[in-house]
Amino acid sequence: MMEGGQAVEIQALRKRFGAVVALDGVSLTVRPGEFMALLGPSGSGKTTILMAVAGFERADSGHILIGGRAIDRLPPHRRDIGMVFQRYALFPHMSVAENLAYPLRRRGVASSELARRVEETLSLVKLEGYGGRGIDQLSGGQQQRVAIARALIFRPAVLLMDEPMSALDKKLREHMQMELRLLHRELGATIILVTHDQEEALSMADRVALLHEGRMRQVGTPAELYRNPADAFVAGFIGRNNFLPIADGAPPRVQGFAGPLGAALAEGSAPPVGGHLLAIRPEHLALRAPDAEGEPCRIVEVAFGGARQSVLAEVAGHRVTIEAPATERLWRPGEAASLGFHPRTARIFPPSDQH
Amino acid sequence: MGGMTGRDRQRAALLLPALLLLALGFLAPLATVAWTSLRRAGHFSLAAYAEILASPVFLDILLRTLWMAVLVTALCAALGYPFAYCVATRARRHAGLIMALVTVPYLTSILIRSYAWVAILGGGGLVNRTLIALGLIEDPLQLVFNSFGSYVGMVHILLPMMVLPLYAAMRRIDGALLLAGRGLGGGPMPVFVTVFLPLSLPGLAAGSALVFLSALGFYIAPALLGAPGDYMLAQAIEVRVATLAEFDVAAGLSCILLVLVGGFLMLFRRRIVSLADDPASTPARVVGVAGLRPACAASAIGAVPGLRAALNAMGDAVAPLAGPLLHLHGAALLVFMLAPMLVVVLIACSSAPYLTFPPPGYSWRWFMALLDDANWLEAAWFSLTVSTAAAVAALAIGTPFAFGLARGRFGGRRLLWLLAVSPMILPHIVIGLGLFFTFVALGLNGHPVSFWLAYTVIGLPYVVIILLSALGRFDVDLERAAANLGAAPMTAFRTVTLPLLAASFVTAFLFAFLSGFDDLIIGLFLSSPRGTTLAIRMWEDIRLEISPKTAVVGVVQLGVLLVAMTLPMLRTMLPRRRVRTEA
Ligand SMILES: Nc1ncnc2c1ncn2[C@@H]1O[C@H](COP(=O)(O)OP(=O)(O)OP(=O)(O)O)[C@@H](O)[C@H]1O
Ligand SMILES: [Mg+2]
Repeated sequence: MMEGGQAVEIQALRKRFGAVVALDGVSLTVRPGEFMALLGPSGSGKTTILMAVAGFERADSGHILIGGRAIDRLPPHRRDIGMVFQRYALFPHMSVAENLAYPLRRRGVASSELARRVEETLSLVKLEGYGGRGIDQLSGGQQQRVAIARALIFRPAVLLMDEPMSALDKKLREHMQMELRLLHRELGATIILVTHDQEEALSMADRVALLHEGRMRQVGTPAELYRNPADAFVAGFIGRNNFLPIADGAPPRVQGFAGPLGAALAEGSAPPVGGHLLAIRPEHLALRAPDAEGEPCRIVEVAFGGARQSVLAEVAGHRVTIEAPATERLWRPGEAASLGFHPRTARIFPPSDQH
Repeated sequence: MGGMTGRDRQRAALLLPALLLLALGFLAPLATVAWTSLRRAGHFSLAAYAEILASPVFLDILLRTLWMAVLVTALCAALGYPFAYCVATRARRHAGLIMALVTVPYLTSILIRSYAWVAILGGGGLVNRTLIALGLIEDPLQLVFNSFGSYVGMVHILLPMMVLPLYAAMRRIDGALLLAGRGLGGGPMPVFVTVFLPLSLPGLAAGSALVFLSALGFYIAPALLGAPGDYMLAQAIEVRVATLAEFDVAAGLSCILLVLVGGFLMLFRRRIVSLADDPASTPARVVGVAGLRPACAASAIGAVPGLRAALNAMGDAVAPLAGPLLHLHGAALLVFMLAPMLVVVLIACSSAPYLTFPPPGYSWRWFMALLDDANWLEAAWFSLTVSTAAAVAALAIGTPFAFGLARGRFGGRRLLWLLAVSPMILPHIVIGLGLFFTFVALGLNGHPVSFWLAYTVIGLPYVVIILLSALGRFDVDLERAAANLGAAPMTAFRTVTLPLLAASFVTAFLFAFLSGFDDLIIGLFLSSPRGTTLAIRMWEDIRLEISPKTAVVGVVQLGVLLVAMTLPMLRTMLPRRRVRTEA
């Protein structure tokens, strides 16, 4: 149905709203047919990027290219980009079928062809027979599917979505995430999905672009972002992480720790000098019996989670979270233990702008 | 406005037609009034002001005007607050209907309402006849053509202006807050005083400001129902023009009235602006204030140990009576508001050859008489065409203005809003005088064009207020979606914005039309053999012979209004447009 997606190139986009710098020179290349997630905390500029691509917000400087062609001067109605709005923006005065027909009518599609394509697209999103319904007669999940269908029916090469799942409950959200992935594989369109839900981004997208305060912090596959975060912000934002300060002096050690770090550090880490931060994920920490090798610590709190347990422990005045299997032993608050980790699984970052 | 983008500049351009209209039909006339007040015998002179200030009656009139405005505001607040409270908290199920009933008198001509009060309060009127029949009095009481009549008329006309914002504010109060107050151990009375009252104060302030400002410039009700010598400022101005032809003194008085109203307007502008979905105000501020006030009040109450107990005791004593009393008050006030409408209908169907109430019998004779009267028909046709043309113009000019103001991101929007809305708030007697001077200078006075321009100016505020509030509730993403799906701006407007805002456009048109159709004061200045409106015909009729013809006009207007109000309900029952999906 779709002639495959086109590349979207965002080049050095800048945008200010009064004193607020919403985009501070953002660049991003989305490959043809790629599923890209734009991830970032609230106010990081995700929606602004989408609005600029769709043509609703003119950037102060920078360029946007689709399929290699600059679209900066094109008004929104001539960009041919599909968009799913956060609250769907379905026309309440039209039926489902009228909503789907709207973009086709604007393109002068003949009425016989029009009816056929409406039917076809409705079945694509599994809403056969719903054409005559009013928008207010649909559930949230159905409304979302109508919104997706309306954005796809005119076969755009690029599909933009602004937090399309945020209005759905958890179960429906997971279901729709799966359907959206299937749809993407079927259609091959380029998709840019905005979300501030990292699980959604990591599980759905081919690549994830992480924004913070109007700047692109890292672009990569979900595994890259998780395993090789580019800086302390990414390390803290993607998944969970414990940050421990490194003490001054040699050999390098975590402040208050008895044992030194040793030489075997993760690749690409900054040098372990005083003031830098050591980041280690909860699943890379191990709790052992108090007499075993490691830093002595005390259990503060335990949350049981079936196969795993989340343990909050205090070690040398720092609090760390440990994700331990619940198969061997269950820890209890107040117990003494020994904390072990392999420096190769930890990364070291300069302390700047962690959050 | 240095950092404006191209799009913002386009949006600012949307304001131009309205600004041009306001400059020509509002600001220029006001300037002419000021100019005229400062000239005598072709020279600059302060003689008019000297004369005004030296006149012993002027101070009387000024003080009477202020006093009456204050009293009417207080009366409206005292009557309107419990009414709005009752509707908002105890009669929620019928609230929509009740508020619609409150709006009906608001939408019918002031002239017709005042006329009905003559029939109700007059010597042979409903009230006196009832009292005599009950044997309570022997001779009719003097209830009208004195200050009592004046107050009744003014309160009746201004009450909706108090009730509507009060009700709006009270509806916004979260019921959970009141429950929380109860949960924290407050009886009904302390919860009312510490939570409900502070939260409803913005509505009270807005209503009071509107009523007070309108009362300052009142003309018709006091002129018709008040004592002949009991002038308010507006009447004093009219007499100077119509009877004495002292234009500079009239202009001087107008400037004084204008400064008075303008001064109070600037003083109250926060209250009024917050009422009308001001595009520039932030919800955060409202929330902040709403959160703060009850907290302050609560702590203040806690600080005075005896007060809480006293309030609780009072509440316990009043509680069993409060419900029935509130309902009784609500019903009585509704009767008060609607009685004139009913009386108008009965009089119109009267078989008597003169105004008497209750009518001795019923017939269509006055409807027939109206249809036979070429003068009235001509005036009706004139009013209809001029007001329709003005409403069309106000909509055409006000729509881009409202869009520009709602969507643009330039400075000074609050001021522009206030400018566009002020023809509704400033006394029409002053605007009328200014238009009169301007049109005479242009040789246009009495020409239909002069009425058209005047009614466009006074219709514009309604269009702007109604459309701005509709646009505030309108989801901009719908327009963006239309554009994203391939609709050029005008197509998006036609296919999405227009159908979704249709009801608001109809309402805006209706209000703009009625503001012109019901106008008397400006028409009195502009009228000439070339153009006489229906309102002027009725005015002359009421002053000279008082036949039930005016009531017939009132009935026709009421009928049209009811149809207009029920039409939107019928529209929702129509099936929606469908695509035939069967191939
Ligand atoms: N129309 C606007 N006027 C003024 N400031 C704006 C406007 N739109 C966005 N901003 C500001 O620009 C910054 C980026 O906003 P944006 O909406 O792009 O963030 P976001 O990443 O989409 O956040 P969220 O997850 O909350 O939707 C924010 O600081 C926001 O306040
Ligand atoms: Mg956003």
